[in-house]
Amino acid sequence: MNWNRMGLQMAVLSCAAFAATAGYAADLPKSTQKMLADLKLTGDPVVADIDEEVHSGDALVAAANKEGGFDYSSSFSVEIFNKMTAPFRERYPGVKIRYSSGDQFARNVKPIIAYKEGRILYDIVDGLGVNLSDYIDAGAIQKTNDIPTTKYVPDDIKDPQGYWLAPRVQYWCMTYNTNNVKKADLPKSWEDMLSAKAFYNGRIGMVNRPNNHMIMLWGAMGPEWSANYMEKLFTVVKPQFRKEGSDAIVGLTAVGEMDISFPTSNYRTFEYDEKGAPVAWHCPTPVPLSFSALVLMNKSPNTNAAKLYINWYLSKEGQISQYYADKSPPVHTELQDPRFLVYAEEVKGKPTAVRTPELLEKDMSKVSDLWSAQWDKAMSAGKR
Amino acid sequence: MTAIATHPPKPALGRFKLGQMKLGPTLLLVLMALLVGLPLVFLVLGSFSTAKLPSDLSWANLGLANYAKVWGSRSTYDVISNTFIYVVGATAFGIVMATALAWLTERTNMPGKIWVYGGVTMTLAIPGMLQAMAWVLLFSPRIGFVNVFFKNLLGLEAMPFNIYTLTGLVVVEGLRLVPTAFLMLVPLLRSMDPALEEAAAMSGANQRSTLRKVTMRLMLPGLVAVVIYQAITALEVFEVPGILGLPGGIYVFSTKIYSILYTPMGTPEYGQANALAIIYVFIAVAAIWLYSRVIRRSERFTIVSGKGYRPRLNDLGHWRWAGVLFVFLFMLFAIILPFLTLLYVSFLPFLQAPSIKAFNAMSLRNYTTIWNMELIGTVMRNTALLVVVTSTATVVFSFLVSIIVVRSKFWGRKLLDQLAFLPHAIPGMVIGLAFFWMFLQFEKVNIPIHGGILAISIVFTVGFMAYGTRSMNAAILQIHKDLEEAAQTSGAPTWRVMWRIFLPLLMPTVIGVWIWTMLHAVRNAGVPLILYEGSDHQVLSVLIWNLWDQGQMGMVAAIGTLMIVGLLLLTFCLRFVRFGARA
Repeated sequence: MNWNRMGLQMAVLSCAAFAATAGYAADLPKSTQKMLADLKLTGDPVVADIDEEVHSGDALVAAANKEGGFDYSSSFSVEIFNKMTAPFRERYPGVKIRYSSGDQFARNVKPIIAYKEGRILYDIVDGLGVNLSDYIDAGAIQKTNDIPTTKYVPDDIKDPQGYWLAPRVQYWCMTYNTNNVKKADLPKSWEDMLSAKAFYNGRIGMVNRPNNHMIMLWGAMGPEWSANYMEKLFTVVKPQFRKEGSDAIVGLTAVGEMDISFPTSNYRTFEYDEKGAPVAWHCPTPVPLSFSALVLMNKSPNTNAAKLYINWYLSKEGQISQYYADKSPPVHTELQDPRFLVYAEEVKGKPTAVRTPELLEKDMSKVSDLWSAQWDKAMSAGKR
Repeated sequence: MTAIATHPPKPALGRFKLGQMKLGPTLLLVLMALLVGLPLVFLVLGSFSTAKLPSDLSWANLGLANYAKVWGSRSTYDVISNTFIYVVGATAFGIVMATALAWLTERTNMPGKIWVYGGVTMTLAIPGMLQAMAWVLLFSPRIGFVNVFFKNLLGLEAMPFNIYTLTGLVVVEGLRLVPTAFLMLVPLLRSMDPALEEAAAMSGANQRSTLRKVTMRLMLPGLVAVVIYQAITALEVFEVPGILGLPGGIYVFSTKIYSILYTPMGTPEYGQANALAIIYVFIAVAAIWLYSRVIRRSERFTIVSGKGYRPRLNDLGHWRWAGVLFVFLFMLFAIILPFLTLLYVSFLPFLQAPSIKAFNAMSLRNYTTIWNMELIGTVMRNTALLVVVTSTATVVFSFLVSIIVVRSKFWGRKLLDQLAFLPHAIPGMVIGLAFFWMFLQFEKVNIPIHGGILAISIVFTVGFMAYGTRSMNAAILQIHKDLEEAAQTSGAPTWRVMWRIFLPLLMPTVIGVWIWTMLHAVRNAGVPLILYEGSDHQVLSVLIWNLWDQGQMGMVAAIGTLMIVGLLLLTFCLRFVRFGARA
C-alpha cells in the first residue's frame, strides 16, 4: 500500500467531493454521526459518499429482513464488535447479528467440522488463516463477488474467483515498555534482534504464534535465513515463552513483565497506549503483514442477510467503524490514509512481508515443524 | 474406637432389595460402561487416525503415524522427569497442608475454625488461569508485587522468589489441591471413633505419639485414596503448568498435550494428542488397581460404627496459637494475597504495579462492562442450566453407584466402582476430545447432542462421578445398617427407607457433592471449549477464557472477584446455618 500515492488521491478526491458533503450527515445513522465526529471526519471529503455507498438495493434488504438475521464468527471481542456494528444495526434493525467469538478452534475448525456433518454453524466465518484450504477443499464456500462493495477491496487481498476476501489487515511487530526501553535501542530489523544482547535471556516475551510472524519472514527472507533465525532466536536470544496470547502479552508488557513482546498488533498496543499504559509499538523490517479471510458459507440459510452485512462491512462506513472500534486499518481502496493507521510511522515506507493464503498452504507446516522442534527443545531445559 | 471385623449383619436393603433387583444395577452398569467405555474406544481409535479433522475418521486413514511422531520424539521423554517431580511434589505439599488443616479444624481446640471452613473452599470456583495470573503478579522475578516489597524492604540485589520454576509450580498446584483434599479428609477425621486414641492416652502415650501411631495409621487407607485422587488431578491440570511453566522453560505432560491440541497451525493434532494421552489410560488402570487394593485393605479396619459420638478434640494448649498462625499463613498465600491481587486488577484499566497513579486510575468500568455485555444473560442462563443439570446428575448417579457398591452384593459392584473412578484419571481435555469424537458420530445417526449444554453436562457428570462416588461411598459406610434393618423390620418399603432414613442422613454429603460439582462445573474450561458450538451455548468458563485470550485481564479479574465473593457468602451461609443448627 503506497501512502504517498494514496495521499495524492485523497487531495484530488477532497476537491471533487467537498461540495457534495453538505447535508449528508443528517441522513446518516446517529452512531455513524457520532463516530465521524469523534474521529474528526464530519464534513471530510473522504466520507462524502459514505451513505450512498452502503445502499445495496431494496430487494436485498427485503430478503435479509425476511431471513431476520445471520450467524457470524470472528475474532473481535464482543464489546468491540458491538461498537463496530452499531451503524449496521441502526440501519437494518430487522437483521439481527448472532455474533460469536472464541479461539481459533472455535472460530475456524468447528464450523468446517459442522459443515462436513451437514450443519451450518455460522453463515459468515471471518478470520480464516491456515484453515482456509480446508474450507475450499470441502466446497464449503459460496462466492461473494456479486456484492457491490467487494470492488473496494484491493485485488491482492481477495480471491480472483470471489470465494474469499480480507476485510481486515493486521501488522504483527513488537510492543515495548516505554519505561524500560528507549526507542533508539530497539532493533531496526528482525536480524538486529538476534544481536541485541541487552534483550537476551527473558527480557523479550514471545508467544507461540509463528503464524503471525515467522511465516511472513519465511516468505520474505527464505527458508535458510528463517531456519538460522529460529535457531538463534531460541538458543541465543532465549526469550521468555508465554502461554498467553498475542493480546494478553501486551498487558504483561505494560506492567513490565518483559521489556518487549512479540508478535503483537499495532491496534491492540494502541488500545493500551490510549489508556495511559507505558507501551508503544515498533516494527523491525520487514514488516509482517497478515490478512485473514472472510467467507460466506455454502448452503447458508441466511445468505441475503449475510451478504447485506458483508456489503456494509466493506463499505466506507463499515471500514471506518472497524477502525473506530478496533483500530484495524481499513482495506477500502479509498481509505488508504495514514489517518486510519495507528503507529503509521512504524509501517510507512518500510518493506512488508505478507502472509498470503498460498504461502500458508505451501510452507506453514514446514515453519510449524521447525518452530515446534525449537520450542520443544527449549522446554526441556527448565529451571528447578 | 472399635476395629470392626468384616462380618457385619447383612443389611435388609442390600440383601433383600438391591441384591434381588438385578435389573437396576445391571442397567446402571451397562450405562456406565457405555458412558466410560465408548469414549475410550473413540480415544483409542482417534489415536490411530491420521485424518486432519475428527469428522473424517474412517478405517481408510488409520495408522501408526501418530504414535511414531509423539513417542518417537525425544521431547516427549524429556517431560517425564519434570512431570514426575511436579506431580509428586505438588501432591505431597497439597496433602500435607490439607491434612494439617483438616486435623487442626476437626481434631483440635484451635480457635477460629469457621474461617478455615469458609476460606479453604473459597478458591474452588476460580479458574486455574486466574489463580496463575495472580501468582505471576505476586511472585514474578521481574514485577512480582511481593518480590518487589521484600527486595525493597530487605535491600536485596535480586528478587527473593521466582515463580517460574519447578518449585513454583509445585507450590502453586499444591495449594490448589488443598481445598478438595481438605473436603475429602474432613469426613475421615470426623468419622473416626476416638476410642483407640483414648485408649492410647490411657496407656500413657503422649499426644504426638498418639497422633503418629494411632490417628495417622487409622487415616492411612483413606489418605492413600486421597493421594491417588489428587496426584491424578495434578497430572491432568494444564493451566498452572502452562502459565507458570512456559516462562521458565518447563513442560509437563499436560502442557505437552495442550500444545498439541492448540498448535500454531490452528488445527489441533487430534490423533497425536490421543496417541500421547493413551498413557493416561494406563495410569488410570494402575491407579484403579492401587486404589482397589487400598480400599480392600481399609475395609478390614472399618473405623466407623453406628454409635453416636463426637471425636475427641486435642487440647493444643499454647500451641493452638501456632495453629492459628499456620492457618493464617496458608490463608494469606493461598487465598488473601491472590484475592487482593484479583480485586486490585479488577479496578484497573490495564495491568500496573501498585502506585498512587494506579489507585487514581481505578474505576468500576470492568464491572459495568461485564454487566452491560449482551452475551452475559445467555452465558449466565447456560451456566446455571449446566451446573444444575451436572450437579444433580452427578449426585444422583453417584448415589446409585455408591449404594450398589457399598450395600449390595451385586456381582459387578467393583467394576461399577472402577468405572466411576476411571474418567478422573484422564485429563479433561482428552476425555472431552474423546466425547467430541463420539458425539460427532452420533450426529451421523441423528442424535443431536453435539455442541450443546447437554453434551458438556454429560462429560462433566462422567468426570465428576469419581469425586461423587468417593464421597458417597464414605458417607454410606458411615450410616450404620442397624437403621435400615430397624426400618425394614417395621415394614417400611425401600423407597421409604431411602426417603426417610438415607436422604436425611446423607444430606450433608449430598449438598457437599452438589456444591463441589457446581464449583468445578463453573470453573472448568477445557471440556466446554472443546464441546460448545456457537454463542448460544457459551458458558461462563468459556467467556472467561475468551476474555483472557483477548487480553481483557481487568474483566477476567472482575469475574474472578465476583465468583470468590459469591462463593464466600454461600459457604458462610451454609456453615452458619449448620453451626446454628448444632447450637
